[in-house]
Amino acid sequence: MKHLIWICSYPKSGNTWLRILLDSILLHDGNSVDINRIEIASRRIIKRNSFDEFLEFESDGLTPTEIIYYKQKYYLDYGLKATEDIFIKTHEANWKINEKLCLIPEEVTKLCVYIVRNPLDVVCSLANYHAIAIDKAIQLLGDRNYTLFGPEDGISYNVPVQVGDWSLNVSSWLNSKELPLIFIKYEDLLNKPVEILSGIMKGLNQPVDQSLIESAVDNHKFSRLANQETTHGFFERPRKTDVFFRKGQSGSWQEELSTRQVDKVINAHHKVIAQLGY
Amino acid sequence: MNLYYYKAYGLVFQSEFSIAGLTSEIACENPDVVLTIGTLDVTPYSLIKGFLIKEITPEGFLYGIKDLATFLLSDGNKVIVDPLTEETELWQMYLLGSVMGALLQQNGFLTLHGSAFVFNNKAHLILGASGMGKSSIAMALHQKGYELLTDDISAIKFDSNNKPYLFVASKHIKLWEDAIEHLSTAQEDMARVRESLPKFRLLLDTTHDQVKYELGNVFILNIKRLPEGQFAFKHLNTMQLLRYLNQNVYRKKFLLDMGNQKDAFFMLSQLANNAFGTLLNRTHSRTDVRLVAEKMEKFLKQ
Repeated sequence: MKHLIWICSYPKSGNTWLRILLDSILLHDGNSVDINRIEIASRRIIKRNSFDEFLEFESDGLTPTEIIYYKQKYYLDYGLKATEDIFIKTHEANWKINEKLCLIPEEVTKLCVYIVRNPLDVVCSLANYHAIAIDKAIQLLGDRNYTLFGPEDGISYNVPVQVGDWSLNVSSWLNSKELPLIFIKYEDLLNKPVEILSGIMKGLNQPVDQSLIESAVDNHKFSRLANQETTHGFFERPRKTDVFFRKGQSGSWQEELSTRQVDKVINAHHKVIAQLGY
Repeated sequence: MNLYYYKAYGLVFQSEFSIAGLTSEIACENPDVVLTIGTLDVTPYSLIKGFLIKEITPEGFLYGIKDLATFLLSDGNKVIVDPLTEETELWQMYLLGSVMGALLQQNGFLTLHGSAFVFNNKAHLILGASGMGKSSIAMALHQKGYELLTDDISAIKFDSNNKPYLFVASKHIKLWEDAIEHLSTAQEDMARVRESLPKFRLLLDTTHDQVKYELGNVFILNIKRLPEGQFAFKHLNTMQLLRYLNQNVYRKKFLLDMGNQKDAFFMLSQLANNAFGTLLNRTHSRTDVRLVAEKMEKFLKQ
């Protein structure tokens, strides 16, 4: 049986919001979810300790390419042992290991939901997330070696997550023909949430009432999530960032980016931007 | 044939090949462990998880990683290495890691994952999950004048009164480039652990007068969301310490593979009963290692 369900995206593309909405629909009948108690894909299935235990040697002597190679084995083993559906969040590109293999093992994958967001908006949000200048965020967006939880990111229980550059990240999933993939746009989730979420539920073979989805959407508007964060904090907020749920809008780049910055992003990622119709 | 001699964990190693990371020893006629290069036939065995070989064979414990190296450990005193990669640093990384762990277990040691240093002529352990900064803290303590005993594997044995002793491993420490920079501890001739990684092996200026030291404190490192620069020490009772020790056994699965689990658990209980356990909660910051070392020093002085 295939039990792994991947909620995937480049960072700051709506992954957490999507998980909250699915959490509300699947586990709370559309009611409000405590953002500090999200159950869908909240548990990291791979940590340094569990990875090293699986490998039976130390992973910190591995190169990034080797980490991807062994992570694929880890996910495969994890998926083969799973007895029920497990949601997993990832920001990693679906790296190609060789002609036949990619990071995400299709043998155990039930579904991948990839959420993509206009890279111009991603840049603004990424700058806030890493507490860096916009120009630096643009650089990161084009950095093939962009990695979360790398050795330079402070002490962590996590195994490095190799995000790659934005175009590579998006394309790696979009071109994963062997994987059952639902590819959604953040902007569509904002503008026609019921339709998008109904499609995902169908993909999960769990059709639900439209009213339940409407209720989930209504209960988890960005302003409500931001209110929750203001009142109770958010455990997934990075240490350097003041707020996680910032604006959540589409098109806020028009106020935040200069023409030079916009040109830089478009020049670097024009192929995928055009492919996606942004 | 040129033979190399090393001393680690109270054992003398005789090797056909040089080993970066072990402390040289004068030649002797009766080494405790003999390391040779040889060909190991793994065709009768299937790969576990697609990359691992782990078998108890009539000749000993066979451990290998696909396309990289295979090792055969017999009776705790003989290791045959069959390197399958030309990257010597890589197969030696496994040799000094997992293989050394298994070898020590075959020699009756309790193996824990952590560093150790000397304070008041006792060995104090720093244990914690991988990536917690154990080596960086150990280096910061070394800079304060406390001798480093081991960087990675802590090997423990007990005397007839159940008193635990930690055995000295090596004069080397492995550190990431950023830790080296932060601690200003760069050495001209420091070598990369692997050509492709920004991690280096440093040789420490230390004497290692004793082979073993009586065990004192066991510090368990833990990450908490604390304000920058804040730390919290918490005493652990025997049961709590036992739980943490159990979590930090080095290559715990090997104990099961080689049938040594019962002995190891008995030793863990003995250790929990005879050591002073302290939980050290710290932040995610990599830049506070000197401060952590200072706090540990202050704690021990109290």
